[in-house]
Amino acid sequence: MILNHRDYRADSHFDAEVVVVGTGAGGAAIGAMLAELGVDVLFVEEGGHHPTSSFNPYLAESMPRLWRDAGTSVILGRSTFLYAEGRCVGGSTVINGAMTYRAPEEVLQSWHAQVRDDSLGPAAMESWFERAEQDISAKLHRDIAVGGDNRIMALGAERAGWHHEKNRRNHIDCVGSNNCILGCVTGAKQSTLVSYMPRALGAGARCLTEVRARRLLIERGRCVGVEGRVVDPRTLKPTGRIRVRAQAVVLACGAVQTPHLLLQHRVARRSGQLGRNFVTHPNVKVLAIYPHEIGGWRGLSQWGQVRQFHEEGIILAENMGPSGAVAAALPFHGRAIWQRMKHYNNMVLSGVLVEDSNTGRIYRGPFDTAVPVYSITQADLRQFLRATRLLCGMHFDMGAERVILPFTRLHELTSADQIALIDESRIKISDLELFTPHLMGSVRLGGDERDSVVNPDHEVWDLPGCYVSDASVFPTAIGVNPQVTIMAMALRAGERLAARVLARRRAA
Amino acid sequence: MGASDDANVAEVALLDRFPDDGWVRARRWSPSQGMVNAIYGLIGAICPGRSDGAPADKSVYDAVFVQMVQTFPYMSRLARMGLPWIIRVLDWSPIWRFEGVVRLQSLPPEQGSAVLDRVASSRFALLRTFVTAARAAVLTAYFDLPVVHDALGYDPVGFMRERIALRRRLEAGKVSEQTDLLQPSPQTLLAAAVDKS
Ligand SMILES: Cc1cc2nc3c(=O)[nH]c(=O)nc-3n(C[C@H](O)[C@H](O)[C@H](O)COP(=O)(O)OP(=O)(O)OC[C@H]3O[C@@H](n4cnc5c(N)ncnc54)[C@H](O)[C@@H]3O)c2cc1C
Ligand code: SF4
Repeated sequence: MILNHRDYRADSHFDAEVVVVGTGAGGAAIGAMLAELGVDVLFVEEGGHHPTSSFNPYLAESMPRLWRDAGTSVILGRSTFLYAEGRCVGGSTVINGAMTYRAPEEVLQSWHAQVRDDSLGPAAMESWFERAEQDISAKLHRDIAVGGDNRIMALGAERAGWHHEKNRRNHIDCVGSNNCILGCVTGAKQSTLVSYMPRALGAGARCLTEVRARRLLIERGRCVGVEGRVVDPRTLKPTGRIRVRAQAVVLACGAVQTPHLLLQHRVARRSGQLGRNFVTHPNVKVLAIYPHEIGGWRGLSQWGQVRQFHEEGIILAENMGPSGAVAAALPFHGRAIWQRMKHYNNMVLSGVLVEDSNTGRIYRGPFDTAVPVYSITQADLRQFLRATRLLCGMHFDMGAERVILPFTRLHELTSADQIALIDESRIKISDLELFTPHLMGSVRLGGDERDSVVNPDHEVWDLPGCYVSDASVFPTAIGVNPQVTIMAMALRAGERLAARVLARRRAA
Repeated sequence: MGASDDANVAEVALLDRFPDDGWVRARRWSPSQGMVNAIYGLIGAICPGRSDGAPADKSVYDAVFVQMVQTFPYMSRLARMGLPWIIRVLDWSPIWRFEGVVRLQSLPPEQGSAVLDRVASSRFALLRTFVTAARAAVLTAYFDLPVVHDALGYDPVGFMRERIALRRRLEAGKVSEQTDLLQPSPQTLLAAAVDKS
């Protein structure tokens, strides 16, 4: 059962065994696990329920429907930049690129060492990864989904002698329609909207949509529910009140909104880590214009990644988007923008992802606003410059006529000879046009309450009954696309939580 | 989007504009007349104008304006607070740059565009950010219009219909054919690459 604003009274009350706040990667996965094990689950989701039938390729309609803040959320820092997050049933998985990478073995090993819990080590996590990948159909693609921009990256990497790895993505028969960031129009992408959520609902879970959770209900030191406000779709202002009482509350609002909600209360503060360790896996875009047709908008968004430099923390990949998104990212207007955009069919949009070497922090601002703060370091800047030089070289080698750069004061190169201009003496951190869709790590999980916020069962150390299941629990940065790791951890946490809830039910 | 027992109502998109899934859209931003004039001034200066086949008549600019005021209520609080200021600051930019005694809204689009070019290359990062934000707001809307898609040779809906049909065929157990492969082929792309020999 899915409810929306029309279904609520001014003051509505619900009961459940477990209330899960958020229906993205972490929320839907843990909710499905709990529901299928027989637990009475109720989801609370701020966004609306937009089924596959409603998706289309128009940005100006789809972004307000599916993206938080219609894509205008910013991270403050030495270079203020945009971040992307889904706000709808399915969360960010509805608008993501569907890459399915596991956290690397060395990351899991370091978590294991830090947390000192064997069930989080690489061997124990293996089965959870397998299960998550099976649930969302992680696999390679058929050739029919591959477009010109995908091929340019693969061929360019091959000519440069770089290791290019084909991505496994969560899909069933993806045909390369390239609308992943505005909702998969064919139903191929196995976002949680079409994978875990139907399973949870099929097992009896309920979902309250268009309700923003505003605070936890805490009684005698225990979390016993959550209170939220219905979002009036006309004014976007909070209206009716919703209260859900439950034995356990699972926060799965993502790495920005979960700490924001917890910071409302005087809990989870002992270690001083709440809101800290925020990592963003930032990226920049490099756009190449070729003298011949590429048709980058036909074909999947990322067929593969150049992993030659992964050990140094750099990933290169293609990632074409709709014309409105591409134009908005270019440093031109007037006649100059048309001179570039009229070659939209000849473009390859590629990007550089750099592993975090710094951490940021989530603050609670006024008016129920989360304030993320994060700055890249000088070492990161060097990584970005190096990776951009590599990408430019590859594009010119593949025959590109010009390459548009992600620097506010160096916009464009028209030949490989100019690559040397991309230099630390010319480009400062504040000149970088960064972006991130990978938000992680602000409610760190750990084995010691002195340096973490949640314990290995994902329960807030000093708030029994309150659990966290989303990207915020990552103890450190993972350097790869995060959704599968979030889901695998959520399934593990869900099984443990179900055992507790069912034991309590039996005892009662 | 009323109460439903089914999380996944249909498997494929109908690709309609303003699809009826019960979603209620927010009330548009209704700026003052002065702000409306300033927004139109920016639209004129940021959109491509009539150059080289770019759609640029009044109906196009009206559509850009409508998309902007429709999207505005969904923006982050910071953007909603900042955008009206950014629009004002840029509207007055010819004056505070001592380039004339007229506002951007009164300049011919080409001249307005040139003023913005100069603001965009300012040594103050904040001013550069203002131009970036204004461009993003206008150009997202402009390049999202079907008439602009046509001018670019970009037909997402036609292509998506074709792909949806292809996926249906695959689901029905048919195998894909050579003609389902997307062009250009790897051979064509390699032929255009720089000859290293
Ligand atoms: C454009 C884009 C592309 C991406 N590409 C990839 C990719 O290819 N591969 C990959 O692995 N990852 C990718 N990611 C990242 C990945 O999708 C996210 O890391 C992952 O979905 C995060 O899961 P989560 O559970 O932490 O949060 P989310 O999936 O963001 O879910 C959080 C949910 O909580 C809801 N919520 C928030 N606050 C409240 C509240 N107060 N009350 C009620 N509900 C609330 C939100 O509306 C949302 O539905 C991408 C993300 C984006 C945005
Ligand atoms: S490329 Fe198209 S079919 Fe494939 S997952 Fe993305 S939107 Fe769906």
